[in-house]
Amino acid sequence: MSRPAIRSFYRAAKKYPPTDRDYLTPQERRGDPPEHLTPEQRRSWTALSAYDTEEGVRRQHRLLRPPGLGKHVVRYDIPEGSGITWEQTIAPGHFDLRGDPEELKHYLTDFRAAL
Amino acid sequence: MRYYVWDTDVAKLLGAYATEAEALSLVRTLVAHYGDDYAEDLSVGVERDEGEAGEPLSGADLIARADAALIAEDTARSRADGEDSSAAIAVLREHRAAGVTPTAASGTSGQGRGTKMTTSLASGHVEAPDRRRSS
Repeated sequence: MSRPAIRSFYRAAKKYPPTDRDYLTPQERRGDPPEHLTPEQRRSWTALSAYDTEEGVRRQHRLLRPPGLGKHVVRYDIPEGSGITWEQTIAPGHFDLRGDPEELKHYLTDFRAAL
Repeated sequence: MRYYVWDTDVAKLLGAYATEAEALSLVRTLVAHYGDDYAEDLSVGVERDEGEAGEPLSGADLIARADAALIAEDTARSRADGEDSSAAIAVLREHRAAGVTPTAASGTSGQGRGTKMTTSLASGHVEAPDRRRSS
């Protein structure tokens, strides 16, 4: 029996290991999005941002340099067919992740790098 | 040039745009909906064509830039239309107070009281009407 394919995603996290706060979506943090947003923006509002490369996270950090953004890069190895789904959105290399945060935590690897 | 709008509190990319105007329009929509405090968690970053990063904006600077861009657009349209009005800033504030999302295509056009607001996010420099929060 073959193993399910694994897809790796990278995110910025404020702490290592990431806390529950690192798993909040805009929907959970802010509530419903403005009605003026496009359907794509409203859909993305319920997801977490992730990149398919570590460089994607570093690039994000380079562009923004905000004090509030996480200082760690963490990786999730997510099996295809799991309860976590992904969808490429907004920009090349950027993905929206959806699913139970508790399940996503199981896919956190021991990889981490400093930003 | 590419402009990125982020919610840095939840590390969520909200939009990526070819123009600053589009990015700032999203900022105005979000701030109109959630209030000015949200701007503290919003950041607009710019990536130049050669990959170099411009100075990002957030908080009061971002709101000031978003307002300035709106008024500049409105002023330009007013001039193109040959109109003569001076209520753009007042209309913008009325829209905010009413929770209406201001856009360059709505409201009364005007001269922006001669306010200097022609610099861009890409240059990392902002001059805008003084509407920073006192809190």
